[in-house]
This record gives sequence, C-alpha cells and structure tokens, in this order.
Amino acid sequence: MSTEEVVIGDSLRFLFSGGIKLGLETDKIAMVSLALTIVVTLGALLFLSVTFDPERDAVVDPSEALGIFDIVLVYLVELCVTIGVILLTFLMIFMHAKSVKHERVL
Amino acid sequence: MDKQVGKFTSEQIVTHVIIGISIMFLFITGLPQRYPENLGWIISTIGLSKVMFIHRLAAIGMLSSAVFYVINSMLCWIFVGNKYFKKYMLPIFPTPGDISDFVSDVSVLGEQKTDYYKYSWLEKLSLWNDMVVNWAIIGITGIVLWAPWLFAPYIPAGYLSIAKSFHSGFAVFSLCVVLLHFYIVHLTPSKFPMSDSMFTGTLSKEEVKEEYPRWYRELSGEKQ
Repeated sequence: MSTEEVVIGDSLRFLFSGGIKLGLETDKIAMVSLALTIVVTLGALLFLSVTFDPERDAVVDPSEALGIFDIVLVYLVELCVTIGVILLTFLMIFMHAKSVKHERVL
Repeated sequence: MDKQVGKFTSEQIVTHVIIGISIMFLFITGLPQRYPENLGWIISTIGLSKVMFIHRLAAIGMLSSAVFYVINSMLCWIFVGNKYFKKYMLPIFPTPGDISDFVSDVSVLGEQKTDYYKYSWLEKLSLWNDMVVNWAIIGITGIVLWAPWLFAPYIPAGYLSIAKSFHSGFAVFSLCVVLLHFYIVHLTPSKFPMSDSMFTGTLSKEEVKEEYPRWYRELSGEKQ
C-alpha cells in the first residue's frame, strides 16, 4: 500500500482527476489502449457502413416460424430472467434490512 | 498507512463513467421497446428513429469501453507483469469466500458486519454482470440485431427473434443488478446521496476499516 502513489488532482488524462497513478509505463499503456480502442471502434463502424445491405436489413418478424427448440429456448430465457429478477429483488430487500440494522447498531 | 487508500485505477474510473452514462441511455431508450404499452410515450415523445440513434450511440460507448478495458488489462498484464495481475485483476475473480460473505449478508439475523476483502461479492457481481451479460450476451445479440445483413447468410431469419429475446431479457436482468449496485453504493444511509470514490478512486482509512475489514487488516499489517 505504501508504495502506491495515491493522487487526487493530477492523475486522470481524459476527463477529470482521480484514481491510483500506476506510473509512467501504465500511462503509456493507457494511451496505446485508448488509441487501439478508437481504431477498433471506428473500424467496426466503417465496416458496418461499407457492408450495409438495405435488402437484407430485415426487421424482427414475430410471425416468423420458429422450431420447437427455438420456442423452448426463448421461454427458458424469459424464465431465467424472471427468476433472476425475483431473486435480485429479494436480495435488495435483505441488503436494505441489513444496512438499516447496522446503521442502528452504529 | 495513508489517510486515503487507493482502490480504483484511473483507467477503471474512466471505464466506469463511460459504462454508467452509456447504460443509463441504453435503459432509457431500450426499455420502451420491450414494454411499449407502458413506456411507449418515451418513443412517441422523442421519435423512434432518434431513440434508435441514441440507443446505438450508447451501445458504441458501452462496447468501446469493453474493448478499452480488455486491451488495457491485457497490455498491462503483458508489459507490467504478474504484479499488475495479482494486484488489480486477481481480486475481481470470484472466490469461495464470496459465498460465505453472501450468506452472511443475506442472513438478516446476523449481528456481525461482513468481513469483506477489497471487493465485496456485490461489486464482483456488478463487474461480472457487466462483462458477461452486458458486454458478451447483450453486446453480441445487439450487434446481430443492428447488422442483420452480416449474419443473414449464416443464421435463419427467425433467429433474430431469439436474439431479440436474449437481448431484451438479459437487459432487464442487468437493470436489476445495476439498481442493486446503485442502491448499495449510493443510497444506503451511510453513503447517501452518493459515494465519491467512483470519481476519486480512493476511500478514507476509516471507510476501509469499516467496510472492508479484511482488506484493512492486510494493508495495516494487523494480525488476522
């Protein structure tokens, strides 16, 4: 911990200050990563524009016939999501109860 | 031990901010398409074409943050070495201890505060939700829905419906994780109205001692 230089005010290069300054090497890596990210993103967008085919730009047609496997798959996804949402809701209630309890204890 | 303890790197802060802004716009413009009977007024107010434009713009932000995070982590690992991996990448991987932390947190009767290390199970859940659900599942199905002409020769047209189900279904799941993360980080009484560590990347010594006792003991050299 003591070897980390915690800087508030001059660390961030892009938007605002903050965070752990890891050193010159990682600063350079961050700039290279940013440059590569811009290249990859612009390249992907350019590729989409160049290959755009209006005849194949199909919209999702709900009447499209699906096989039984596909229908089961769609229902399974919906079921998993529903169960996940219910569990996460209960989790939020539990965490709230715990949080309130410890605030009172403190 | 310093008064302020560093938790997040600058790169993590930037990635988090971009993800936060992107995901907010993705939900605002995406949910009305899944629930038009309840939220259709958003589409009619803004206009479908503008809603789709904003949705895709936000998707670019989300996916480019994924590209940046992956490239940066890999390059740091390659050029800085295992020290970087152990310090900044290893702590985000789930461990058996997260299960006991989870059980401790959901047991309402528990009197003890959970003995967290650097990242709690909930922070790991948010992170892995972002990487697996948002970047991989929603990202890939989103690209398929965005550019169906690229995939038309390889997949039947009906599969677009399946991709749409995956895309919108997991988006709802992701919303619940984001709401849970938002509540725990910003709206708990001790943090309200917001935690500023997402901008500064640091926590006070007292906060670390209170919220991440196991990490505090390691940093301060106290015996376990």
